[in-house]
Amino acid sequence: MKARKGISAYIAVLFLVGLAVAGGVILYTGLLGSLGSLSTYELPGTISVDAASIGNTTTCFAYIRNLGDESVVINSAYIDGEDATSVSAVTINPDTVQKVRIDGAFVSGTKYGFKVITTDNTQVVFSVKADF
Amino acid sequence: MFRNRSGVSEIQASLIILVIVSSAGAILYSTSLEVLNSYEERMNYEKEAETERILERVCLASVYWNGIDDNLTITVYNYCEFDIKVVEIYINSNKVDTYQYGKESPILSGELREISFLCPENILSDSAYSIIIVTERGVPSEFLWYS
Repeated sequence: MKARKGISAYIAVLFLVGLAVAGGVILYTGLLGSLGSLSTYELPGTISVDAASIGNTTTCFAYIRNLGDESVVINSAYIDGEDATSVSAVTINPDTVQKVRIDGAFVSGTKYGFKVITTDNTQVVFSVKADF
Repeated sequence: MFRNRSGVSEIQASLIILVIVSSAGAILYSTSLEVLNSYEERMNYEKEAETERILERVCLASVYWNGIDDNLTITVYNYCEFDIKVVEIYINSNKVDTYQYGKESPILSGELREISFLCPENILSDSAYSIIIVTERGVPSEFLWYS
């Protein structure tokens, strides 16, 4: 009969302990990392438009209010889905309102859809009828 | 020759593994519960704020102009279930900068409140003006007024 030699029960248990510890450490750091990044992930703020008007063929002024807890910085604007010529990079503190200038090409009597986006991806959509 | 080997038994090893796994599970559970609770709180707050924004109802009960200067006195009626505060007024999309009284005073549910201010543009007779009232929840309500 062939004698079968293998690892002893003692070594097997040690292996299992080692595996369990290593697995636990990997799982713990991995999951804690993901959960930690979730908790520190910055949620977008809340902004709204008080009033907006298009005063001439190139300029729209919008009064944008920050309803969130953190300051926001206006980053970009779109007019009917197209990039606005320019937008003023205004910082809006919580519970305050700021006048934001959005440049584009406007025709009197036409309604335009605007989307304003801040650096933290907070967005607001509004429409204004050009009337000058 | 039989070698005397001393070490943990299989039962002890199993117990150690059980303890390690249970502790890791408990730590993970408490951490994830904490994170999820903070998310739930934030979501509930956002939901409540959005609900109040949607349910907010105000109307312009009257507008008084003396026909001489550019001072206006408006009366705002709050007919929603909760209190509101008027934080900003715009006339023809121009922000009002000078208030005499009434701005940011709480208007209780079912109450009227007078707000007096200097109109940012000259008021002419027989003209239409857009009056936008903005509350602290950021809800704008637009009304037309004929002088």
